[in-house]
Amino acid sequence: MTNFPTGVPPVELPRRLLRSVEKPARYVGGEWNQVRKDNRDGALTRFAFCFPDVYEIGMSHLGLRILYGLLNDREDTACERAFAPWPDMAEALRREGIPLFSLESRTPLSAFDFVGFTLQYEMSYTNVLLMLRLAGIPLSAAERGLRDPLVIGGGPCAVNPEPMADCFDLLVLGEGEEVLGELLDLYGAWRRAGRGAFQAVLSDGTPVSGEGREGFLLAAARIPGIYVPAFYDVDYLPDGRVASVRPNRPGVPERVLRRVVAHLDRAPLPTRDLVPNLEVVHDRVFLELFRGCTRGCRFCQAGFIYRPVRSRSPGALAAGAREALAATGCGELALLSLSTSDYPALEPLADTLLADMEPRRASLSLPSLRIDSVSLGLLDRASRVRKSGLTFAPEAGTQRLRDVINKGVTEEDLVRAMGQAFAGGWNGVKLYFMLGLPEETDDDVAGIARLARAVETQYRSLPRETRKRPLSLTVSTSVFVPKPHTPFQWEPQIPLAAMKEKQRTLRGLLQGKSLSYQWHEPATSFWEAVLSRGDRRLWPVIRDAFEAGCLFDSWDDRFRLETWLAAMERHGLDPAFYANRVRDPGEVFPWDHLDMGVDKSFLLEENRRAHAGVLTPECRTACSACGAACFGAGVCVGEEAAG
Amino acid sequence: MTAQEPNAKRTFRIRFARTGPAAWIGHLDLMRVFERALRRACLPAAFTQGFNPHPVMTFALPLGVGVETRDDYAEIGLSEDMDPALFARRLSAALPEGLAVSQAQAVASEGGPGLMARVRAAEYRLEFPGASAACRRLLDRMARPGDDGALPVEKKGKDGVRTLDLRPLVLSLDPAPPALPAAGPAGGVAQATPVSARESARDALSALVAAGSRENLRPDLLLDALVRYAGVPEAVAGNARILRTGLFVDGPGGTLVRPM
Repeated sequence: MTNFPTGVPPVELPRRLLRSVEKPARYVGGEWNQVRKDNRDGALTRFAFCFPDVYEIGMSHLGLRILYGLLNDREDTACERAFAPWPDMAEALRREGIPLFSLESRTPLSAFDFVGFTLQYEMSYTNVLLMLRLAGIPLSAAERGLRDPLVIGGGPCAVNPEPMADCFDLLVLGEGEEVLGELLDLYGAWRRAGRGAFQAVLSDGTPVSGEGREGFLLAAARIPGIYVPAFYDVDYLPDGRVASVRPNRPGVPERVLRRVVAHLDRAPLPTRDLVPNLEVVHDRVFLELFRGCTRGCRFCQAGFIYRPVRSRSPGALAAGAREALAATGCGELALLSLSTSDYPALEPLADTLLADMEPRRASLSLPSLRIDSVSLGLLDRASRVRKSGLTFAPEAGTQRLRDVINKGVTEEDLVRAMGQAFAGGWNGVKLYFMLGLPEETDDDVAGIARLARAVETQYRSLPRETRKRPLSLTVSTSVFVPKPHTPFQWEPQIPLAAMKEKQRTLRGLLQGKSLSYQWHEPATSFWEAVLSRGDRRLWPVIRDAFEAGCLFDSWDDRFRLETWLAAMERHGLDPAFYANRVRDPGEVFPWDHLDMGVDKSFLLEENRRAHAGVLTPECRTACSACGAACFGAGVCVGEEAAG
Repeated sequence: MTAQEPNAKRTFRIRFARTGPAAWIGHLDLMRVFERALRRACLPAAFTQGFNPHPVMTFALPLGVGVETRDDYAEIGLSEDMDPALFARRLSAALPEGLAVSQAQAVASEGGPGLMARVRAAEYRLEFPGASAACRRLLDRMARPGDDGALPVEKKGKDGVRTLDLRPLVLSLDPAPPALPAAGPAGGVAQATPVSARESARDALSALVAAGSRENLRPDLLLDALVRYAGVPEAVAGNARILRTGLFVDGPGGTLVRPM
């Protein structure tokens, strides 16, 4: 039996420190709907929800809102928050010797039972290390002992966490609502046993027992959806490709299947959202319509790792929206999903919401709309309180390339929708595209400009009296990053020089006073490609880059490619091996033991169809037998949102 | 100006306090915090017209980040009349930790200068070890005639750094202000954070300074003067608690009066 600290005193934050940093409100908590539980006797399990980016980004995240509520609804758990301190604050904490703390009770992170990171993008990995270092928690799982917190991770990057695998004691694959509860139940049993020898029964009836930290992790690895990286050995071929990934302990599954919540209406809908005291990136209440997407755009990781589509019912959503607006006082509600116009009962739902919201001067925003199915009548009704710009994502400049990526949107759809929008009084339009998609030619890049010109022409063709305000057309491009678990996981990313060349071409083609062109920094897209399909050999590289000062890599002005390249070189690794290499159809990927429910053979077939320019129908039109039916949920079993 | 807003049928003046975590909220964010509290409390706030409607609301004197207050004022437009006491109670209950409204009263929309334009002075309590002694040293200096008693400090503005003499802006200094009362301001129903006996016994000084749109002395500049002319170590001044304890407008015959 080990004695663990119970009454951990809060850290002291001198005023002079807060006065020396930008936006001190990031670090003091005290928001409406904050949950602060009395845990002075240490009876509750402490869970630190850590978002490895600044407060304004982390507080915009739906997952935080869902899990914060869910974990705090447990009587035996206190969930508190921590975000990555901006470099000025990180420096101040180091200087003063103050450990990183939670906002709710200012408890040092090292005193938590769980330190849980959400991995939303690869470029936040060095910030995970920053937070651990500032908290005084060893960076590698292997360096942690019985008194250290369990460092856990989840979120979209957990579908290939291999570059960070050595950092995490365990990772949660898929949706956290159910599996986190099971993990906390198991932890409670271990904790009650003084973290010594313990026995418990998992929710599926499996009896488990063990001793110490390893014993707990072995038991946790038997919970479906929990991945304990240390229990897997990776072997490599001489050329650096993975030969195999195999469990190294008895009882550890060969493949970890991701968790899904089968019936969303039975999962809690967060309504008592935290209301930030300073303006955050998405300063609104979210209403999650559904998870997954039926479309299967071949570049889109979210379209494959969240299958199958499962919807919330309109009745539950309308009630949740009313409750959330009342509980937060937010003036804006955004419908959230991967493709809002695919929600079966979108119009009646939106009308119900609008009837509620208009008298309260609250506005409704409808992001992620598809051009081919947008209802401008609905957009018009939604814009009575606040009129915003229109944003669409044709993704590629020509029909041929849109067929390659399975984005079944036509130029006629776009131009017609734009014509209706302009006639309806809109004048601000933003179009998103990707550069460097597989099969892309110079003509496809030029096609982006042609499409923009067609939209411009459509605007000019309107009678003068309809064009009250000048057209503002923005074209925005990102660079395609091949992602694990997608049909394009075998594809190379185009080299950095080619990215710059394509951007230069487009800059030249998109001149004009009503046109503006925005692009992403190509170097960060390149590094995202390295990390997203990386293996465990990248862990020492990430550590090195962090020690050499890399932080906030997703911020273009902070990203230091040379430092990363130097770290790669020190470890004898070539970034092109990860980013720019064509993979063989039979290659074993570092993430193959992590099962999203979608068959690799289906992804390979989709890759073949992409190169042949053959479209694949969306799930509701025809099932393509991707494998996600193994979850027995949502669209796979014909369950659609009912009233 | 609230009086000209067509949607506002009534204007309420409120007295509020902010302490604790709320002290670190910037001015624009504080307006949003109040807007959301108005919505949560379902109060009939009047909204501006146009594409980005927001509540009709003005603060008497914006508070710097890290500055606490026990006596501050704002005016809020209402689309319909209601009981001011009920308004204050409901708004206060809907505000986050550290913010509290103690009082509300209807003000006439006479169309004269708004509350903001009428602010003339503010009173600050500065708490730090050695505050009373430093205050006496500053008073000694200010008592010297002519330039010897001036308090030039450097002020960073939009056009760069300029030197500003604080002496004419300091209306009075008190090296031994009374201990803070544990209760809220007069007539108050709510106190954001109760003041402990230990807190009220802290070494402190009190300063009445020019405030408002014509002349304004920010409390951090006063702390700079204490560093420069009263020997307060910079680290001590940087850690000082700054608490606004009063805000005053022009009263009859050139007097200073509290807005409520």
